Amino acid sequence: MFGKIVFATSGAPDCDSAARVAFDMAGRYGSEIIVFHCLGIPGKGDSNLVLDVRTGEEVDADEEYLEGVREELRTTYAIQLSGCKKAGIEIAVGNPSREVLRLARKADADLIVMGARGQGLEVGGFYKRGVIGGTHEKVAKAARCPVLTVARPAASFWGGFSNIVFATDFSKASESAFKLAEAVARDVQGDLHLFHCLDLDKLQSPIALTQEGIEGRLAEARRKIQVNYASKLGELAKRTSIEVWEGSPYVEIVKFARERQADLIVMAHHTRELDPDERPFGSTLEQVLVRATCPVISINRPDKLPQAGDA
Amino acid sequence: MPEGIYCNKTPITTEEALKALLSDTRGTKYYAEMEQLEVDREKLWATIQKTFKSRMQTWLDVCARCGLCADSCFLYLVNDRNPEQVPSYKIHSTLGEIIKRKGDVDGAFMRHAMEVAWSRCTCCNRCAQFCPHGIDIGVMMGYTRGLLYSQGFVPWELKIGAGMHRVYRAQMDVTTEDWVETCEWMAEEQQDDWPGLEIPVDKEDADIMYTCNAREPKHYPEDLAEAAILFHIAGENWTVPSEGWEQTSLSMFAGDWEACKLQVQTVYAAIERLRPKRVVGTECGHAHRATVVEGPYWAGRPDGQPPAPYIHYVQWVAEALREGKLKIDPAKRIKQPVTYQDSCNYIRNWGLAETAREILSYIVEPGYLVEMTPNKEYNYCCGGGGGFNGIGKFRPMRNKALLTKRDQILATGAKLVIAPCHNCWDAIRDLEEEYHIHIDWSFLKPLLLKMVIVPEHLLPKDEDSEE
Repeated sequence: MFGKIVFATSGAPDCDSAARVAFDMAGRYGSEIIVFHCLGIPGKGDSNLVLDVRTGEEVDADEEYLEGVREELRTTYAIQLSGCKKAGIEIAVGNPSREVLRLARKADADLIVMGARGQGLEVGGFYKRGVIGGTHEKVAKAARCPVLTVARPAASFWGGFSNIVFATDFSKASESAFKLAEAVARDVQGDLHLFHCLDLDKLQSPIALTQEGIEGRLAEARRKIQVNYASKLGELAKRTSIEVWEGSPYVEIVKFARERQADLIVMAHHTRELDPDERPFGSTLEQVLVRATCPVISINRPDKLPQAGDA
Repeated sequence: MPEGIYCNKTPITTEEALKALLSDTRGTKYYAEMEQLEVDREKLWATIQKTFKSRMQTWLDVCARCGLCADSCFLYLVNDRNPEQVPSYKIHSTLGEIIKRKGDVDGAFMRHAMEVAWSRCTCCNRCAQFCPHGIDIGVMMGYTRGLLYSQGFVPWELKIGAGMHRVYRAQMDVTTEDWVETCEWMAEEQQDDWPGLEIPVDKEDADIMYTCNAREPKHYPEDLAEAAILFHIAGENWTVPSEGWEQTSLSMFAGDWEACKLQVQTVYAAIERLRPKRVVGTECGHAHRATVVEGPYWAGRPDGQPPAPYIHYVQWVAEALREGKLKIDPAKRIKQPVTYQDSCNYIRNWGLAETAREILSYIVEPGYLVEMTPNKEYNYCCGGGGGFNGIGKFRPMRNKALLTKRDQILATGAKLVIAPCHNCWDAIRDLEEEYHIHIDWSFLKPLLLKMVIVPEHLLPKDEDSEE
């Protein structure tokens, strides 16, 4: 299903949950896996210095150090790597989001798996700790392939994905996300839950907020899900449910996923505005990433959609 | 030891030699070898006789060591007015001494001269504005660097930097293939948001050929994307060359004049090959100095001009705003105290202070621009100019040099510094990391993109959300 997986990791324990999912998927689908670590942007002018993830100290990114990092990654993931048919370790120096995207493009990756940010880089206040951060945001927005993020231990992942929530805002990007959700659901023979949340924050006007108005929109959204998605599912429709709630999308998506005991959330990430000043609490996707108890996968484009059962 | 394996008089000309030098962490072996490096006195004096021309000879002769240049030098001020930091002292105790002794100097002297040339002068040329005789010590220090480089007495990072230009024609190991791939990548990445956006490579007879700084494709390719978007919005007919796209010159910082010539010739060859009406360079100060101000002389251009009119990015932005190619949404103008970092190389050495202010008048709400003191042509170097930013050996001195800029910025009360120069941008970033004064810094491109009005016909057609 995913021929080549890029697993972007800091190598720190924060990424263990993501590692479990990444390697498990590689094993399950017989995928090639590339373990990727970015040393961070050369901090000082034109010098070769980078920040060490563990110590936060400046080090020289010379061949000896790079080999040391490679060796540590090999040791950290020794057991998982030994179980992979084809695996490699790649290291880069640079801006992490850029280098993840660069490698994904160069390797023609079918999936990027990322964990939460390592603490070594996150000596900051609540905002920095609580929000996934610019790396995920930029990668999720620009990648041509699906991006799977595991921010918390994925308790229900033990047996693989079987209960998939697809959250849509009916955008064009969501069409790609729907195709991905459908392909995964077919491949794992799981249940699919089609979900939309009517964004009440966007309807803050006395007229739009009448109960009848809201209920009318909910009915309309339900109809749209039926027409745009459910009607195209064929056999899979038997294992599919439709739900439309109102509220703040990220809250409702997380609540819905919890209620359905989902082990994967699929959605698009198509935020054009990346300026954190304009969007202090992040996009819906970013908030879902932080809060969801299961892995979240996002895709905006049709370029690298997996086909069910082609692994 | 006449010459070492790492530290010697031979320029880096192969990838293999470059990698070997890079493998010497922090130049430990390189500097150890430099302790033993011998001066080729005959060659040094012969070089001086060929190149030390009347202008500099006159400058050295007429310098009365009056000391009026002292207070002009931020390194003198920030180092507790140490007399050894007086510009005239710095040049007389190095170049002046070499000339006086007719090149009869030893390794210890050259190592001392290297420290002076690269850690006590950023070639910012500020002192020249205060000299009653108009003596430009920055220019003379640049010449001194050339002498030192030719004898192998050059900081490790700059020997590598000059070698990069010789091997890759770029200050970093960005090959033609990497560069073209980056252009395709960035165009592809923007196509959802900017339908029809292209980064045309090697288009002949375009109105604009764009050149940049290798740090952009290497680490910040979005800078290239931002340039492309702004050209797209402005409706420009533009291109980038597949070769000759790198405008910077670390070899100029190193004093490797041959590499400077090779580098700038590559850019000029691209201009001659593609025949653009004019060339626009990125937001970089020294790149402009290297390719536009000094480059024509290195390349032996008879008219002292590049093959086509060549402007700095602030000139293009000011023109685009003036002519309405880029229109700013007044509601999105900067409404917080903001200050502007004048880059020595395109402000003091190219006279674009007012052009930069013209841009600010469009993008900053009146009353929110707080100028540094002093400013424009009299502004101080960021603290990291002339290669100072990148030299590990002189990092403590560089960090101290940043204090001038820190205090200038703090005095404005601004939380945002606009710095359309890579070197200044790096120095201000490092200054924030070093001293934590809670400021932001930005190039022009991302700021413009936040506030520019996008014409309706350029917007993506699909509607993201129907809700």
